[in-house]
Parts: sequence; structure tokens; C-alpha cells
Amino acid sequence: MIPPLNYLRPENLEVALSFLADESLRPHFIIAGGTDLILELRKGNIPPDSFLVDISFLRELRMLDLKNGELQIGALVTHQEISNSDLVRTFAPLLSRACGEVGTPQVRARGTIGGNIAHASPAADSIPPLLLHDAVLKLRTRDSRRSVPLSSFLKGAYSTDLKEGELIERINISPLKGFNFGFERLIFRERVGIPRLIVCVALKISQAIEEARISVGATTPVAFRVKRVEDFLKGKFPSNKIFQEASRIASQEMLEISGKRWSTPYKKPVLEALLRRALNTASRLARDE
Amino acid sequence: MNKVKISLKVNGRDYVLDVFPNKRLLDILREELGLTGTKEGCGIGECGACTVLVDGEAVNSCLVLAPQADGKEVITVEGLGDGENLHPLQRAFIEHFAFQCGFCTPGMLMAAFSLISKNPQPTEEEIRKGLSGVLCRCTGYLPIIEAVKKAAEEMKKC
Repeated sequence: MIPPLNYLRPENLEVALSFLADESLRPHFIIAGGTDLILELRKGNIPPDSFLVDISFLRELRMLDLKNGELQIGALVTHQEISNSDLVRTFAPLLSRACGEVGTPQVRARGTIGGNIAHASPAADSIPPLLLHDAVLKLRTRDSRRSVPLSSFLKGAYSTDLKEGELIERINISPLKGFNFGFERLIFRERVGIPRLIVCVALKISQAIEEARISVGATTPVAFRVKRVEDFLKGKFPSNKIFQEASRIASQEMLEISGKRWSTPYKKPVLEALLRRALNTASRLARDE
Repeated sequence: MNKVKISLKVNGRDYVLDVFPNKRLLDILREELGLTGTKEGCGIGECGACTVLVDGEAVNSCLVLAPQADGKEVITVEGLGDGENLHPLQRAFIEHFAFQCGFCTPGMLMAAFSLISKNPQPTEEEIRKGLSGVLCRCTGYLPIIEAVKKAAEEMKKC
């Protein structure tokens, strides 16, 4: 079922990067937790005799720390470690929440945040909260380093800007200070399944809304920040009426990105309702439904 | 395709094995070590029948390549009892009729074992969440949840 593979286990990050740079070891695929890659192997999406570079043993990629006011999360940190981390709960509460919802306990124990990003599923749980924080990826090849905002790294469904020979080393997140948060996630079964909608909201309010950050995942090829709604909300006083209007703008933007689809009659009102709820939670308004 | 030498501990015993890298932990447990208590249901990490503990964490053994288990400590359903006596969880499953066809039972037991190891007195909600990665198509789950509750109480007395 799984095709024959050439297995490589680098003993440190330098060796891993030299394997990835080596043109005689192609095509190569990086395996970390394996919860997505093993499915791709089974589906036949990876050619036989590919080189599998197993980075799961690299301690260098397991850091989770607050440095210079930034939360730094190594690519190999698992969903479970993120959802159990007090640092993440304090400085990126929606990321903590979202990683605690991924798949099942078994998948959360193996699946990594770097893998979640590199796989770039439209329904990836970690991506909408990371977008809220303007997360930046630290990428490395053997000979170079670069920093790329997550929003420009994601190119489409299952498609990223990761270059040949490149590896995600870590994710840097700036905490959102003085914000309140709202989170909604729609799934057909409470556990195990794949989310159909993820809505993340951060509001900074001093009577009027000073700043709004909103991201929506799982309904377009790439999760996105709803900038038009963020701009609309700025300077407004929180109210059910304003949030209703904001939700309509968001669903309009979803339609402009993904076009009218068979699921539109369902997703449009549901996105509007979930966004209203998340805005209400973040603004501490009573629920309007 | 070259074989990879791995050493791992399974149910307290040390093994050194030469494995093909396209084999999964599930395959080597069943085929190399004869530990057929661990079942393959879906093979894609959804049903949880293949759940084992790796370094104390419940994982789907169908989603771990054999070489990735190198140096790890694995516990399967065969490692729950001591050879003479069943584990309190296993006894509670029998007493509460917590299975019918039995195919998910090893996965349920290992998920429950992982839960109770970390959280000896789980609430019902925590039990439901802890077992959420294993699907059962026979019991409707209630007897399983009851059995885990009772086993946790039993183990508290010891």
C-alpha cells in the first residue's frame, strides 16, 4: 500500500538541510508527525523510491519560547503541546484553542504545527489563528534563511511558497495585547471530522472599536483575513446592528473569492451567524440569537 | 529500498529489528512481533482501532512509520495486564459489556489507559473527549464510558 521508500534520518538540522540540498536525493519529501504525509503515501501521491527525510528526531525544531516579546514555536511542536502550553494560552489564546480541536487526541499527539502549515489544507485548524497574529515563518535552506509572512506563504489549496530544499524552522507570533477574542468552528461531527468553517476574531475596544482582526478558514482555498470587515469595524461602537452588517460584508467577500458553489445557500448564512457570534463574544455583547 | 535497523521497547521487552521504511508501527507489531491485539480498522487515523502508547502518548500506529518508532517505548493492549491478571480497565469492560464485536476494544482500552494515566479521576466529559479518537459501531459508547468510570474508581482504591 505504501510504496517503497528511501529513508533518511538526519542527526541534526545541518545534516537535514544538506540532505534537502542534495540533488541526488530527489524527489524528496519531509516527514514530521506523518499524520498527513502517510495518507498521501497511501493515496499514491508520492512516487515510489522517493527519499523520505525524517525530521521527527530533530530537537532543534522543538522549541516553544517567548523571546524579545515574540512567541517562537518550532516546526515540530505538536498540536497537543501547543494546546497544553501556558505560554500559548496566554499570548495566543485562539491558537491554543484551535490546536486543541484538531482531529483526535491521537492525531494531536503526533501532528505538528509545521506540518499543518506545510500541508496547507484549506481546513487546517492552526492557520486562521496564526493569520490573526500576522505570524511569520522562519525558513531555511542549507545556504540561506528567509522570513515570510504566513499570509504570503500560502499560495492555494495544498500549495505553498516552500522552495526546493527549504524547511520551516519555526513560526514567530506577536502577542495581541489588549484584545478580546471570539472563536467559532463548525464541524459535522464534533470530533474526528474536518472543519467546514473556522472564524477567529480579535477586537480592541475602548468604547469604540480601535482595531479589529478577523480571519476565516475552511471555506475558501486559503484561509484569509477579512480586511474589508476589519476596516468597516474600525471606529464603530459595538452593536448587533453593526455586527450584522459586518457579517454581510464578510460573506460577500467569501462569495467573491470562492464564487457561487453548491454549498453557498448553506455556508453564506452560517458564516454570517458564526461571525456575529464570534464578534459578540469578543465584544462581550449578549448573544443576539 | 534499504532496511532500517531500529531498537524499541514493546510492553517492557527490548527488540532490535530490521524494518522496511514503508512498514508502519502497526505492521511490525502485528507481523514481526505477533502482537495481533492491535487492530487495523480504517488505516487513515480516523477509527483509532490501532491506538497504542508511544512514550506515554496514545497514537494511531497506522500513522507512524516503523523507523519513526526507533528508540521509543511502546505499550500495546497485550501489555495492559500482567500475564496473570487483567488490568482493571479490561475487567471493567467485561463487567459492563463494553463491547460487542470487540474490534475497537484494544483501541478503546489504550485510549482509556492513556487518559487515566494522565488524569486518574476523569469527569464524564473528559472521558468522552479522551475516547473521541476511537470509533465504535456496536455499543453506542455508553457502556464503554461507564466501564472507564468504574475502572478509574477501582484504581483509586488500589
